[in-house]
Amino acid sequence: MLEVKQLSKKFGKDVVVDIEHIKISRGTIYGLLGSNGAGKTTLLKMLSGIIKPTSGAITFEESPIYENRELKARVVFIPDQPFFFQHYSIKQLADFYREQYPSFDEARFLEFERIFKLDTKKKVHTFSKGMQRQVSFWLALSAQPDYLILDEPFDGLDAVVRKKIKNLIIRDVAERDMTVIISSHNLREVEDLCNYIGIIHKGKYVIDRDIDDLKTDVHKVQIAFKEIPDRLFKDFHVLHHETRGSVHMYIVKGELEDIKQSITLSNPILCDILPLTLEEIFVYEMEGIGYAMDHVLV
Amino acid sequence: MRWIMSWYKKELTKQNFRLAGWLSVGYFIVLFLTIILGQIDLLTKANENPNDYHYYSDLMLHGGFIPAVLLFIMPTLAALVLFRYLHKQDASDFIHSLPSTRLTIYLHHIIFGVISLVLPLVLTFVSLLVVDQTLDHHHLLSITDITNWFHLSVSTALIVFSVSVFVAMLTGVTLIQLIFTYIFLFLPVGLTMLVVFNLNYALPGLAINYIIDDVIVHFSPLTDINRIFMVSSMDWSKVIIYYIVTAVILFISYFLYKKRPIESANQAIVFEALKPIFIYSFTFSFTLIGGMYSGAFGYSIPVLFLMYIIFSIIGYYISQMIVDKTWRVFGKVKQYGFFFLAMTLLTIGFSFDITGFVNHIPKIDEIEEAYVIDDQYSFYQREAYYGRQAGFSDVDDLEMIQSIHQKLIDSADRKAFLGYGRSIIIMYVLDDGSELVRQYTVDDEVYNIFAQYNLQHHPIYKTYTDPLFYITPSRANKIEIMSENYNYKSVSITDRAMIVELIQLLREDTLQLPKIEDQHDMLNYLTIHTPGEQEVYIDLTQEFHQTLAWLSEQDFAKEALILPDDILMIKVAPYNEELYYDAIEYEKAYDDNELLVYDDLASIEKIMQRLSISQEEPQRMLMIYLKELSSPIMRSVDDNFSLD
Repeated sequence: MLEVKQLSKKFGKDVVVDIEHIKISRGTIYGLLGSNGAGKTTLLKMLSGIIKPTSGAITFEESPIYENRELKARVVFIPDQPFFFQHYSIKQLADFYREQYPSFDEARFLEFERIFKLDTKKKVHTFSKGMQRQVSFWLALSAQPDYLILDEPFDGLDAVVRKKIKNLIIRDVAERDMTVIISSHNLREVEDLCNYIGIIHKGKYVIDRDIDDLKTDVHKVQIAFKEIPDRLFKDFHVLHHETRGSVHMYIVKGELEDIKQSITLSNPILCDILPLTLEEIFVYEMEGIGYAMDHVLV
Repeated sequence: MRWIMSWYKKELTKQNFRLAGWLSVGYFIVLFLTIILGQIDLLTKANENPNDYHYYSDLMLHGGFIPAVLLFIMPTLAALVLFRYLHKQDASDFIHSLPSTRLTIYLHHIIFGVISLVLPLVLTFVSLLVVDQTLDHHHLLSITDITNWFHLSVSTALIVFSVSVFVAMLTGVTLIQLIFTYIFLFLPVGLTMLVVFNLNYALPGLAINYIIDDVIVHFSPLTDINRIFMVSSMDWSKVIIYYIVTAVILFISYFLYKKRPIESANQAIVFEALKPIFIYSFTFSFTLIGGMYSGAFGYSIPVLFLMYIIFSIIGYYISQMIVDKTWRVFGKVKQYGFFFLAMTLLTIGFSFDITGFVNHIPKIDEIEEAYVIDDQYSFYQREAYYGRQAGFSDVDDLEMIQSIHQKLIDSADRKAFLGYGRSIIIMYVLDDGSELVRQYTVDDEVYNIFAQYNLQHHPIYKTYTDPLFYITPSRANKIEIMSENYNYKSVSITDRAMIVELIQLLREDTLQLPKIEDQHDMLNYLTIHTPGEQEVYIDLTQEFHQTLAWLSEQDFAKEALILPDDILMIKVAPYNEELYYDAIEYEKAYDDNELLVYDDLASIEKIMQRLSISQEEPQRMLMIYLKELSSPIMRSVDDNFSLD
């Protein structure tokens, strides 16, 4: 389990990250969303033990990550621009990773060679950007980390590569209970992969939600009455309400059955309960706490 | 051993080798080509003809200029390449995301750097030993020479490397690391020089002590480069200090590395707290450079202040540009305001001499001893070697010195130190053991005021300025008395008792010598030799009464001195500057009618007795012909010389 408490990071006088609390359980694929400059990369670098927080604590299974050799051997960070030593081939890089990460698995490395079909003796710098990205996953997953931290991993990748990489991630999560933290500025890019979403805006945590809960929890109700009953949805959390002519549109949080029951009691002329896309849920959720989604995400 | 094996990262070392290994290989190739092949060549030639071999105990001289310069270039390059990752954000992120602590990473880089520098030197060292053993048939080069060269090179290379690593930790830009490595190496001397130079404007009388100069130079191997070329005997203490300082700097650098914010790659200065320090000290240095610039061109005081302001503004904005890495810094004026205020207060403080530095003359009862020194270089050299002789301590003498000092203060000029005048130092040793030293640069006019005091004839002055009074008589091993003109006569005295006796007489005579214009020349001089020391040279005059009497007593006079008996004749011609001191030219220019010729013993004796030491404009030329020698001794004499 990964836990962040009262974390803050200042660059000079600017507060770049200021987070009260995050908790990520093992086996989670956690999507960290935020626009450019929201503080995602800084947060991820702190989570990876690269930069030191100005204050606060980051713990993996109760131990702090910064300068912690044993723990860092179980964490791999892939930055938005993968870095490789100059003039290194995949094979040479694998030697380097093998020495650094004791859990590096030879069989997996060879298996990935069949999947990615890249020449291990060629210098990595001669590869295209997409290929380089694959190499970084190849090496990272061969190291069999318990925690994989990815900064904008799908930026600028084509659909095929994207799919391939997502599958590899999911397989590791399923097989080894790996925890993955993925940052992105685009919700649609990660919604099929993540089971938990956190949104960061101007260094502060705006919201974090379990996606499965969200999808079953939030409902769009289109409803019309002769006369609006006073007590409609009084016992529920209404995220949004708007009126178009005589038709009311409510976004309501709650169990579907309870909502249906409540509606039946109010005797509507017309009623329709619709599913919401993840994006819509976030738009309304954040509106509820005073943020406009299009300001927070691109 | 297992601990080391688990700690040691082979692949990290491989990566370092790929980065910096070529430097090490290249370094060895250069050392091989210059020093090793150079030695082989020299020794082979020497085996054919030993006289061909020029022995220098310092091997650096054999290798020439290149190995010495590389001692300052290679370590910086190694540090630059090895710590480049700190200055590139992606590389820095990657390295620090690995499961290695900063200590592990640092040690891998440092150890690799040290080995990459030392290994070529070790290989050269071993090769030299082999070359020496196989080729040096005449034992021209000793193993000590080779060992000295090795330690000198290693200690210098390591200290430069450590300074460059230190700078790498402070900055996030490789170019700045390069530049500031050399600035740091030059800093002790550079800054002292600048400060002292500028203080001279404010405090006439400020002494630039040779000793201080001497000491500061040793603070950095860059300014101490003399040592590498000119070392005659190895200064082991310095080598050891260099090794220790290297270790200390590398240790401090590790703590900086631990504290260093990784995210500040690409920033000129990575520690926030250092930024204002950098800006103020950079501006301050530039201000002082302005003062020096003004001094170099001899500008007047108002222009000096203008230069201070111009240079401080330039320095201020350059430092801001470095810190912010942008041209757009001209809106920042607050810090300059503080600087300007502080400098103004400082300048006012110094100019109005709030500490009373300029006009301070210690009171008689505070003074233990006093010295007036007009040849500071010799004085400090002798003091450093022999220890100090007693100075003036008589109340009358001290009052005289105070009055000289007062005159010097009254005539002191803020810009005098820029000129080429003579320098006079007044040094007081006070009751509490402290020293008060003032130095004045004086023009001829002021020097004449000083000269009127006739200090040169004061016995005390003589004892602390004349080397004759510094040497230890019992250590001298030879006194040579020689005559001019190809050692027409010469005698060596090597008997220790005689030497001691003669030095004593020379000292007594020296103290009693009249003024120089009242002395009478002889054609003889004398040197006192002490092993390992510079010889003491004395021009004998006829006023060295006791010495001359002793020489006669010991029967040395006839052998050692040119006496009237030895002179064939003396020709006297009018002095002619254009003929220099060339006898043949004089003979050509004047025929025998124009020359006065004296060849009788009585006349010769008379002329020789009157042979005064020419102080004024020369009037006549004496051509003294010695027996059995064709070319005469030439002596010009002034008006004080008369033939009547």
